Amino acid sequence: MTNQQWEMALLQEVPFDALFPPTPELHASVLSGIARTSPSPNARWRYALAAAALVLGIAFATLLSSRQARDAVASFLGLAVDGERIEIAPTPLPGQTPPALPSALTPPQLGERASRDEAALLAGFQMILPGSLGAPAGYYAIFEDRNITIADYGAIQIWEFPLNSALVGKMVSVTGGTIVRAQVVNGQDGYWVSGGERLVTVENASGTPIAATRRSTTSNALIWADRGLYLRIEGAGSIEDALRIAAEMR
Amino acid sequence: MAPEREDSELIAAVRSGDRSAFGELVGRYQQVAFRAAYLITRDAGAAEEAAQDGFIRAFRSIGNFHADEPFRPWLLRIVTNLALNQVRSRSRRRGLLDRIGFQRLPAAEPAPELEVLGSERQRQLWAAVRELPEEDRVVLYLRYFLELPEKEIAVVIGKAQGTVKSRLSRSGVRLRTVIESSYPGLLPGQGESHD
Repeated sequence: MTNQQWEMALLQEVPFDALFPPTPELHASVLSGIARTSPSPNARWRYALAAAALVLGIAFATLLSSRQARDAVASFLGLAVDGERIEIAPTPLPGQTPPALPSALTPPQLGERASRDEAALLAGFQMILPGSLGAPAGYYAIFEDRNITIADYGAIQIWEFPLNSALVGKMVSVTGGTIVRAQVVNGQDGYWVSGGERLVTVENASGTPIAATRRSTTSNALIWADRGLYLRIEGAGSIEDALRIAAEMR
Repeated sequence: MAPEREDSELIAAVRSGDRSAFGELVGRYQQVAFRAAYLITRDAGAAEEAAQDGFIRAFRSIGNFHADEPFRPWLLRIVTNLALNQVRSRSRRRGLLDRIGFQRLPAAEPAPELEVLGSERQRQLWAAVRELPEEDRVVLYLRYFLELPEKEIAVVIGKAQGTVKSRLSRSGVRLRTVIESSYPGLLPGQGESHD
């Protein structure tokens, strides 16, 4: 008997069907995932689109050569705060089912627990944290990108990463009801985001979402950038509470 | 009842803007996609994510798909690549933890599939397969667990059909080597009877 025949006979002893958990129903989630996207065009059309993109790119670059125009565009795109991008997806029409969102995840589900020193060693920076909340229940490092660190205070979490990592926090409001308000935080431009369920991720420099950071949330968030760090307080009950905490992070 | 449409008809419909046709493809291949991802990740949640993302990427890339080729291996290639990336990313995280002497999390639970294998012989056989290098395991899974023909495996792993043949043959040799050294009871004429 050859190895392959022997291997086949042996592997036939494994009850394959019993090895697998039930197959989840993917139909709805895939269809909602493709609801806002289009299939890529075939090669012939890609050339035409590439040419059109080049023309638009030149026009956009010309526009961005003016600081005033640049700021206006950045603000429109949700880029007024370094390291953050906010998008508001169209509110679903009556009777239309909003796309499925990923689960709401707690820090232990998002990263690996670390001591403060270990988290600093991994991330390459010391977190800026408020004093009045006491010691966090835990620090969590997201190893898919070691720059991202979370301090977990239970109801409140603080997310930080260095701006020079080229990471971008991304928040997409998909169910409607999200309110994004410009808010000066410790003298820096910032956002206060409340209401509505949102898809939250951090994307790397090439715009690819870091899988471990993908989740949904309804928590309020105060977002700003200071001293080379992206800073986000999540879970404060009100903007006043969030600003009070932020004031201790100057 | 309308006759089931061929994959090629559904793909043509998707290309002309019919998203529900893609839904038919999802229904047709979700089990094999999920199972392929599960064999690699051994985590139902991760497998679901890989299968789901695989379908979405396949939809986005359908313009690059050659209509005269079979859809299933092309889809599985996307799904297995996503699943392998997940496993590698997980492994890199663990490696980083080890390098800095990080306190390891509590020992992982025993693999859930071991609980459903009825006999010690089946458990040992499964453990032997798990000891094979990743590329050997993947071809074994595709050939014997998902029962893909060699031609389709070639598309999934992006290699020539001859390479698939030689890899299957090599994995057989390696499986026998693992069994001889760690699970000799599985060798013909040894140990317990099949049950």
